Amino acid sequence: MKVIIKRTLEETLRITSIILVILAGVAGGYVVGINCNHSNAGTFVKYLNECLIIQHMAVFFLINGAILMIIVISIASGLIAGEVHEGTIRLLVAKPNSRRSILLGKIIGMLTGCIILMLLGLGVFFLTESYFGNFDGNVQAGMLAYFPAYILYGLIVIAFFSSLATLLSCLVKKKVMALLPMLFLMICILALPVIVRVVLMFSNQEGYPSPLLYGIDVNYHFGSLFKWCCDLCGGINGTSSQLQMPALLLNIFKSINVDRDLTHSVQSTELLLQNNIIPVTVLIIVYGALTVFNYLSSFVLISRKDV
Amino acid sequence: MSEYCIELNEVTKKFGNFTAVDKVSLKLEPGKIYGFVGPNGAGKSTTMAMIMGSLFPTSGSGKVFDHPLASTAALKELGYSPEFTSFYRDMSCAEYLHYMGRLSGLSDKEAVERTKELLDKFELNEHANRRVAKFSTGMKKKVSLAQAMINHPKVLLLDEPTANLDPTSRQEILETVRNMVENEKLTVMISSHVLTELETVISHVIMISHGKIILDAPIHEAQEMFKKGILIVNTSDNDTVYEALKDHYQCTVIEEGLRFMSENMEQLKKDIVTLAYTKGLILNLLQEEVMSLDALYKHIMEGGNHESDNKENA
Repeated sequence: MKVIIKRTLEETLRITSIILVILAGVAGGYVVGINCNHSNAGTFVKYLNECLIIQHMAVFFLINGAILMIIVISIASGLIAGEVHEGTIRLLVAKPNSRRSILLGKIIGMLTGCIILMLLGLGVFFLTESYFGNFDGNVQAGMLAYFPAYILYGLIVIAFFSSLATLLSCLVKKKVMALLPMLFLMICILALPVIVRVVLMFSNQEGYPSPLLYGIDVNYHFGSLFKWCCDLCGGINGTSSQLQMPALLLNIFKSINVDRDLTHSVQSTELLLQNNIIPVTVLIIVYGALTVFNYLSSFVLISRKDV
Repeated sequence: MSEYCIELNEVTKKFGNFTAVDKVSLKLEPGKIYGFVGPNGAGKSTTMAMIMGSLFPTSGSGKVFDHPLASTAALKELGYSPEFTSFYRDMSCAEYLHYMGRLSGLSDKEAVERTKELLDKFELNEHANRRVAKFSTGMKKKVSLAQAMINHPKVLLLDEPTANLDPTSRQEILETVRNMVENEKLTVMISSHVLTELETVISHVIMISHGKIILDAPIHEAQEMFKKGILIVNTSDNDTVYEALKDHYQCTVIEEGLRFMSENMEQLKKDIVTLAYTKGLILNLLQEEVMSLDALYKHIMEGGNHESDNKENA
């Protein structure tokens, strides 16, 4: 199994993946750094929160979002389907290794590689934002404090995406057939519900017409999971106007109109509260169970598959 | 402990409604070279793939040295070279063989040594560091054979090892197989369409058609079985012999002279000798035909239609 782990790890850590992750880290770090370089926030806490929200969004959508998801999808969907399509699986299963150990070796290699790439991306991202942001020590420490949360969220993304892509890879005979549904899921998490929400906002509707739609809003699901990870490191905080961005992009806050005295604000009568329509515990259980189910099903499928 | 290295008991493989292999039973004895022949789609590759565990039988069972098919213990005893070997695009020839060795359970050091040995044996040393996916078809076949040998298997399954090769490469590959068998005392199962070349290598023939085994016998027995009643004759005046005997025996003009078929071989020989004596003919050739594997194949697969082919050719 060691040789399969090594081979899969090498395939995961290809130079193209490494360059992609570094470029994403630099791009994300540059955006955060430039936007946090000059601020009119007024107080240190407001300034830090403003920077943190931009950092959270960059991590959610880019570093542990599009880039990490693309890498995980690309590698995991080819684990078995790629070998079947290329025809190399025939000799792989003809060697004296059980099919389950082959799959296990591939999964371990892929997960290890993806975790390394995630850490590399986050590392480059932090260094770049620090360079372009010219943060003082306190701000830098405040921003670094959330990196354990990002790593945890990245592990959740890697585990769920790799399990689903591995299952699809065991089901189909071409990598592209496993890749396309996963790319669609990624777009659903990162873009489609956001567009729907923007449309709803401009049509003067408040949120989804039915709470049932939260059941299929994977952007909200992953947003909630991301927020849960951040809560472990201090939470996503800010003024109502600062929290508008995560409210719009992740749907993790919802606004309610309240008496102006309660908001202590002369500009707004809106108060942003946590949007807990689906409790995060339920999401953790559901996505955890799905991940386990996907991996177990992959092992069952591979042991019976004609190749 | 079974006396057979491979045993298949009524193995069937269906793909939807199509039955690719239909209740095939085989017993392969150690140390023999088996020719596995049949037309395209007969079920040769499917049978081999089931022995190798890449396809699972729909019904039936099999063993490799008493180990169930597709088990790790069974696969340890087998070496396999598929009809179309696919290689990893990023690997050189040496890297590929080393990887296959490691997958076969060799330690890193053993895999390195075995790779060197096989590169040398298959004359691939010059190309060791070239990408194997870019090799010519003949060289790819060699690499495929080499990887099949990497773990010193007791049984070698070669699926169409000479397909799509030019005659020189075909001879080269078969010569390599012959040498391997002699040196390593292997049991080999070779499937091939190039029957004339195969018969110089194999000791046992298994014919399959429409997923069913239709012949399973040592090559000399099979030839014996079907040669009965065929006599090749050449005299100083073949036309006279043809005219005199064509109404009594089935006779064909061939390159070597005349080809007679008869149920009563003794009577046929007497009639030819008597005719030659009375007409004063010189008898150049009087020989019972040894059936080639190709002729045997045609005889069984096509119901002996090669007779009429020969007549037309003549």
